[in-house]
Amino acid sequence: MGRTIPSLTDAIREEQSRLIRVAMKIRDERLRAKLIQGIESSRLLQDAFYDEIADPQEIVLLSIILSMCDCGDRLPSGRNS
Amino acid sequence: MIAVIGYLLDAIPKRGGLEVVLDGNRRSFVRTTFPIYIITDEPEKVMQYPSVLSYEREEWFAPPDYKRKITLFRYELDSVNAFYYLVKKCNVVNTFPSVVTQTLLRLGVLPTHLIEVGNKVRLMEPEDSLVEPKLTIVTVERYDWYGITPKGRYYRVYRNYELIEEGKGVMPRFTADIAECIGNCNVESPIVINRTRSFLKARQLIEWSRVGRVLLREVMYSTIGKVLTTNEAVHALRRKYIVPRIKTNVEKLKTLDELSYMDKGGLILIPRPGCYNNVKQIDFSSMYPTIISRFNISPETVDECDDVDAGVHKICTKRRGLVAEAIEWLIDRKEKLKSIDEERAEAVKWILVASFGYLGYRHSRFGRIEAYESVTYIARKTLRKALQVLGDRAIHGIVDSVAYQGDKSLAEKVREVTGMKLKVESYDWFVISESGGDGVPTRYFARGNGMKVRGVIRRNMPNLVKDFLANALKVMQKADSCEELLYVIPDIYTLYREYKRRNFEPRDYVIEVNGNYLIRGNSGFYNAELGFHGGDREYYLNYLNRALSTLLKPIVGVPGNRPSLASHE
Repeated sequence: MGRTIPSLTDAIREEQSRLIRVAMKIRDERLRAKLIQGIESSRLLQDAFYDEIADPQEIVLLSIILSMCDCGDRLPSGRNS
Repeated sequence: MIAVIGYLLDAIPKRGGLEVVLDGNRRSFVRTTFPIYIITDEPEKVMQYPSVLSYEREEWFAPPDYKRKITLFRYELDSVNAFYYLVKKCNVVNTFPSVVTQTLLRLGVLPTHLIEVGNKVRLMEPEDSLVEPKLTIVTVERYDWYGITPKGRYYRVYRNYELIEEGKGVMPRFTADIAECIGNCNVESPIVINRTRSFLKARQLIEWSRVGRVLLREVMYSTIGKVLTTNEAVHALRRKYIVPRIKTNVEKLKTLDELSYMDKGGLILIPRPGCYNNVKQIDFSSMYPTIISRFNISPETVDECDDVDAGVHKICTKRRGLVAEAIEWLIDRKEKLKSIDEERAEAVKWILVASFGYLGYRHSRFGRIEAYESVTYIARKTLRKALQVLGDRAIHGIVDSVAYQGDKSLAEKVREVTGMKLKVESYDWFVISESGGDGVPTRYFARGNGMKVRGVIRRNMPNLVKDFLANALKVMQKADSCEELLYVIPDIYTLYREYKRRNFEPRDYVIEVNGNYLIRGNSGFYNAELGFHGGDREYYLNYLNRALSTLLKPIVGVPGNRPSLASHE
């Protein structure tokens, strides 16, 4: 990849690992599963973002949002949902 | 003086001229002087050095933009010692290529070309001749039970790549025009190449020598960068462009966004792992060199005017770029050689491959990072155009190749849209390997006209594993589709079990890492040259298991009613 900026793949992998660590700490099984599912689909967006200016965080977060939209589900809205 | 005709193998500088070595170890003396180019305000002062014979004032274009002309003085010397003395004392330019190469160029003769040496020397074949020189190349290869090694007890001798002798211990003496040896070599020859140090085999080095106009002696252990820079420097000298001693341009300031936008390599898609039926793979022929040549990318043409858009940078086409010109004839030569001789074409291909990277190399004499960025930008755009044509049919894309499911007419459309020369290969099935759930862009295998295997069998794998993978792929080759591949899985498992059960031979344990042969023993790796002292069977069985998963996981792991790996265990 570039000579000064790090590899996009590595940067996304780092961002994914951070969010997976966070997901593991979520005390709601459904939310945790959704987050992990969203994180895992970020490789597809990475391809599309490759030749644009993009923040790895933006790519991963957008994948999570899209993955949730795709399910047609809504996020749990409160503690009791 | 009686004229002699032969292939120029070497030139040794002597006082007052060059001793040229022709094939058959024939030697002749050619009277000449050696040029040196100096920038000075006091040209007469240099004349005080005894070996300086004369001087001429000349006007040359100065780097980095090659628009401005400056005055320099060309002195004629009667020895190369004087050249090296003056290089230390004066402001000397055009020190590259070597003084001997420049002297030969001025004489009008080129290394490894057919020349006539008489009262005058002259070239007897065209500069761009594709005819292979008729030289005797003797290759000596030493080997032992674990593989080819300089320390091997056994030897094989080839003449022009045909086996003529093999044996053990001390080998008989041979004579040759060029000798290439791995290990102890008893060959009388003016050029002896140590194959453990050279990147290519002798006949490919001859091609490098012809392309770079460099003597074999200079080219045999040189980097690709030196060969391609020499080719560029020769073009520069012909245009009266000064060849700088060090890189003269510095990178221009960019904003962070510009840097983030431009500082990227080629486009690589992360493919979905699995098996795909009816796949075509488009390969853009010499994509980067073609972009350099077609879009006129060269240090002096980038950001000069805005004829071609290359993202943040613009390319000027008003004058032909030096690098673009130097690469153009290499592309042409490679294409012509491809139909005549694959090996020599490969030697040129290596130069073309490196020519792009060298544009971005910080010490490259004709490099400029903006030129490098422009190439990758155009390459990414080209692959994107191809992907737009292919749409969802695209399954894989990596820098200069793209694979898709569909017929050849799509490839024609890609050719029209991108305007690039391309090669299309058809595959009945195409398997993309996986790692951690993601596809690996550089690891796939497919069946077309034979098998195409990339990244699956690596040199640094144990012989046992390489052998297993090769045999397993042979079994897979029988399948006509992804569906049929599932039916050969039991055969692969049978093969796997045979390998697991068999008594490993010492050779099976050997792993080649950077020319060293290693064996994994019970207490770590040890050198195979020390002899065989047992191997860690468990380690090799695990390796074998991983190799099996590489092959089968993408096939059985794709969606659908497919058997799982576990069901065959």
